[in-house]
Amino acid sequence: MIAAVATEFIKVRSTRLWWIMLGLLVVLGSGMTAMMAAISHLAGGTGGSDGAPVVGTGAVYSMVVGFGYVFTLIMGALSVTSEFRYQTITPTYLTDPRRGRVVAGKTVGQLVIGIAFGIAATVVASAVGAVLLSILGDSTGLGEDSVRRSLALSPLALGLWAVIGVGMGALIKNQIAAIVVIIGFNQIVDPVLRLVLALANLGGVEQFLPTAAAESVSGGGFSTLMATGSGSSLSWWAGGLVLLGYGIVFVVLGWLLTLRRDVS
Amino acid sequence: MSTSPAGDEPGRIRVDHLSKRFGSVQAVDDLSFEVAPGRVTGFLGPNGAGKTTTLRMLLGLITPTAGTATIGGRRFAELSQPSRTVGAALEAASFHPGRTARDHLRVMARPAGITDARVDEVLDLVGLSGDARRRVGGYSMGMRQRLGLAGTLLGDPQVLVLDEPANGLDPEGIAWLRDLLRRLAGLGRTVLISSHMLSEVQQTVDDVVVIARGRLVHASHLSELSALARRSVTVRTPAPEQLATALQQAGHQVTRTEPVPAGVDVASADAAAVGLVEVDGIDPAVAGRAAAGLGIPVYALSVRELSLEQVFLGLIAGAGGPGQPPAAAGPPLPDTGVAQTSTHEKSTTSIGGNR
Repeated sequence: MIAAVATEFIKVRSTRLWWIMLGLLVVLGSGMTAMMAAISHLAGGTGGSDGAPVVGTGAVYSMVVGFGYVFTLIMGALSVTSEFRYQTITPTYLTDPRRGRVVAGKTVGQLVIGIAFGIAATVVASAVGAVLLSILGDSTGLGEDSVRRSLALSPLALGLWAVIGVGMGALIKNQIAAIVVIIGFNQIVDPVLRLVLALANLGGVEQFLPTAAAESVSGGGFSTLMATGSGSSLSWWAGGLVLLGYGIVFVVLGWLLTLRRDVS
Repeated sequence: MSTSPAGDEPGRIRVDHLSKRFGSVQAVDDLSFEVAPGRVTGFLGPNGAGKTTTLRMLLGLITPTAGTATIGGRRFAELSQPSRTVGAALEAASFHPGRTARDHLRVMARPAGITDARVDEVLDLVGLSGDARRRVGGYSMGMRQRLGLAGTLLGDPQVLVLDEPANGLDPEGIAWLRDLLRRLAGLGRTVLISSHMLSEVQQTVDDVVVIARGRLVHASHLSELSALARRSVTVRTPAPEQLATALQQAGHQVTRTEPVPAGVDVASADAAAVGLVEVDGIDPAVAGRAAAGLGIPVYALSVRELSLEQVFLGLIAGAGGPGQPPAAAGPPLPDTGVAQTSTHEKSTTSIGGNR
């Protein structure tokens, strides 16, 4: 099992995809954090004592996961689809015919890589956000417990998104289709579904959607601001379990339906 | 590990009543054969014969519909460290183009705990040391073949399975591959190589397994296949039925009898216009003497020698007809149109003008 995880690390490190994805995650995550810091300042700042600010620091520091999850999600998906695209699945299974172990190694490997990416992006983006807030004369918010928890848990949320990606890649198998489905879900299905479910007032089912669950881990994000009224969210650990649940269900389904099949 | 369920020695490949059906296509049909250690075995058949499907079943990539394929008595999936038992290269295309050759091998080495030093060693062995840190996307077909081969050698395995390994290799590369495979077989390793052309592997293999349409057509030492390379005699005569009957009664194998076409005046017709009798594995003198003994005129008598490749093609063609048992009546001769351009032909003309 350790060998299977180590093999996944070699696979990721030996192509250029990882630093492209890491670069995008860090740059876009930091950019969005900076933008949210500016919005927060324009909306009245965060240091005021007169009631709750319109945009809190929590929203500023949640941008890395809120916008960056798509990158670890795609990384996880491509780790499976590229094996089929380039037929490296053949040597992969020849060197380890226990396919369950191969899938488990990939899943754990991508979880660890997603967490590592999340640590790098969170450190850079929160530094950018904090510096910008201080320059603007606002409180950085880094002393708040909720912000600290959000920063600590953001990498975990990104790692769990990578696991979901592995599962989606296994289920879809076709590289282009997987990316289209992920982007389509990210841009259209998820926000619409959250809004509709929230408006339909179905007792809070929308909080079990993967993006909502991720936000309850990493702190309320952009979508939360948009989806008005969906204030109630899961506790961070419940959200993490929901996210992990999606990941495990997708991976197991992908393994059962796709990865055990004939390779020809 | 030493005692295997089937009692086979470590390197023996055993394919036992193996079948695979993809939808309505019977890709492999009740196939059985063995591959012995210490020998190079050619796994031959035309494209689409089921060679790759068979190899993929042997390697646990495809689940058989029926039957088993084992290596040293064990199925591939049961091997605890497959890279150290079997090295297999299936297609030259199974590489990530953005990965270097060295990294490709490191990915393959890690599950078996094979060191980077061994990776560099096999790269050197296949002559890729200088290009080891280049991305495989820029590799030629021949270099990919060498890289595929390097991957099979990583675990220094007892068994080597190579699918069309000579594809894309230049003549020098083919000679190098032949030497390497011969050397490995000399060390007691099992070497199984597939090809759609016998001539490509003729100088490399000790044994041949020929399949067509998913079924076994022939399995033997190469020398036994060579023994099938025989000659046939065609006699042009105005009395083909009479001669055919006489030759059959004398125990010869008449493969074709063509009567005189209706309306042909045999007295004035040339050799090509009269009927013919084709006999397998007979000396031309025997055929001529038989005709003379019966007082049958012979307009032409030609001898055709079959090359090994033609025997091979005959075996494959023999398995072509639906419901026809493979190789039941020996290999039929190739069609004359093809054969006459490539066969060594000797002709003697009319030995008797008596009518």
